[in-house]
Amino acid sequence: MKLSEYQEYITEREKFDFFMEQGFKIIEVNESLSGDIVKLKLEEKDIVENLHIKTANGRKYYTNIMIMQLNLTNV
Amino acid sequence: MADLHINLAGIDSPNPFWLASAPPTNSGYQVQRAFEAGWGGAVWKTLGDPIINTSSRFAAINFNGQRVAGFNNIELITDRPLEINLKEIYETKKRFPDRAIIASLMVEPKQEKWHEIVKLVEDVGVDGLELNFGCPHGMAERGMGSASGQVPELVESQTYWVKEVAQTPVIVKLTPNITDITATAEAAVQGGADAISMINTINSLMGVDIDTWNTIPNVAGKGAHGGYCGPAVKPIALNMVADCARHPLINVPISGIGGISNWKDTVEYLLMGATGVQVCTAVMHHGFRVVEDMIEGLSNYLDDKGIDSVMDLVGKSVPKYSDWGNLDLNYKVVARINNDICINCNKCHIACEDASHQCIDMLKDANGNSYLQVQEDDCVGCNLCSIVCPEEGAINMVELKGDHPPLTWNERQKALSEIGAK
Ligand SMILES: Cc1cc2nc3c(=O)[nH]c(=O)nc-3n(C[C@H](O)[C@H](O)[C@H](O)COP(=O)(O)O)c2cc1C
Repeated sequence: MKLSEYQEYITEREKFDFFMEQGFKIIEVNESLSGDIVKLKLEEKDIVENLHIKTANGRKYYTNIMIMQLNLTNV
Repeated sequence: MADLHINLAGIDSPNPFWLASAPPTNSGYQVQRAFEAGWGGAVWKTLGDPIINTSSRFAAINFNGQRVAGFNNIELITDRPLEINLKEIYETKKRFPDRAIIASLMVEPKQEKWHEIVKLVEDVGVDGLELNFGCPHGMAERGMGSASGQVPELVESQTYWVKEVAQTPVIVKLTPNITDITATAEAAVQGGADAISMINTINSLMGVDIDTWNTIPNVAGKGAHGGYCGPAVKPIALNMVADCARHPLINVPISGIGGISNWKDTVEYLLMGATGVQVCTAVMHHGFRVVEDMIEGLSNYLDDKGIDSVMDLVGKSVPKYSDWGNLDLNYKVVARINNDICINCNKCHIACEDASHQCIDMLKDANGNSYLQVQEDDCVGCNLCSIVCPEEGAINMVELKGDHPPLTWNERQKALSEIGAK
């Protein structure tokens, strides 16, 4: 089987975007040998979700969003 | 025409091309012929107590038709008495007063030994001194060369002793046979060096004859490690020059050495922070006349770029050389195959299938003709396909515009810690 990381990344990105669109924010990241677990929280409803990000592009993607989120909270 | 004149730590030279201390600078006869050919300076073959060399001392690697891709030697310093060298230095300087003559020196790590030789060579009118802390074989077994050049304290103290008496600029020549060359470069600066030069040769065993089982080269059936140089070492040397050039505490000029074969190599060294270059292997391979093309090529390059003086090139690429953590992770290039140029050798496909991300497909068009296509989404932009491609222009790495601003690893780690990563 050929490796198509891109498809895997798209799936991760869609999941991530799904939560972002509902207003979730990244509150914690745990890096491990299996990839990153990104903890997302919807503040007003006190809901927490964990996303397991396994691809390199996925890690880049959530980092870009995390930095935007930090920049917004820092202003 | 652009001005090729350089000034390295107070040493003037009509152009940045110097002969490195090695067989081509062994005698006045050779250095004078080199100056006639156009070399701007010469670092004389290292002076010290005359040695005995072995017979059979050089070897080279010929790689895929390129002769002398790498060169190796087990030669020591000069085997001629100091007085003869000094007489020839004096005569050469008198005939070519506008050229730079640097005396390369190597003595035991004792203050009085350094004082003695410095005074003797400066009396005959050298323009500068180069301390050979780099020779990796033979001399090192006697506590000199790289044996003292690998110990920062010895580099510092010996440089200091030389500076106690030297009237001319002191260049410290560093060995690459050390984990971090900035440690010894910094020690040289601490000791008062006016400039540093790098690299001397890299410890090497050229090969083993698979029929006789002798080393290459061998001396009556026995071998010892030698020093490696020539085109193959250029990337290693260039990185060392760049590392020193961008180091905040190493603030002296650099004379770049290692695999320089033409004017383009020279431009690269200057851009990466060298004020001038030294050449050995290219001259051993092709003779003194290589300098003619070097001078012409450099001069044309500067004119084409509208640059008045070669000194304006020095260090221009240094700010572009950083640590991995400062590189933009959002930057993306992908391979694009130009099917008009591609010869369908499939080397890119094989390389991508076997060694990268399996994203070059072998396809057939409506007429049944084979062609190759990159799945850009899966391409990570590693460059491997364009490296193995034998046809110039058949594979281009093209930049893709991204949606996000630059993102470095260091910025990512900072953001992770801010968000409370565990
Ligand atoms: C045969 C040979 C002898 C050398 N002898 C000396 C020497 O006496 N002193 C010294 O500082 N470097 C010596 N070197 C090192 C050169 O000066 C230079 O640092 C090295 O060869 C790298 O430059 P290249 O790649 O242009 O050859 C020698 C190199 C060769 C090949």
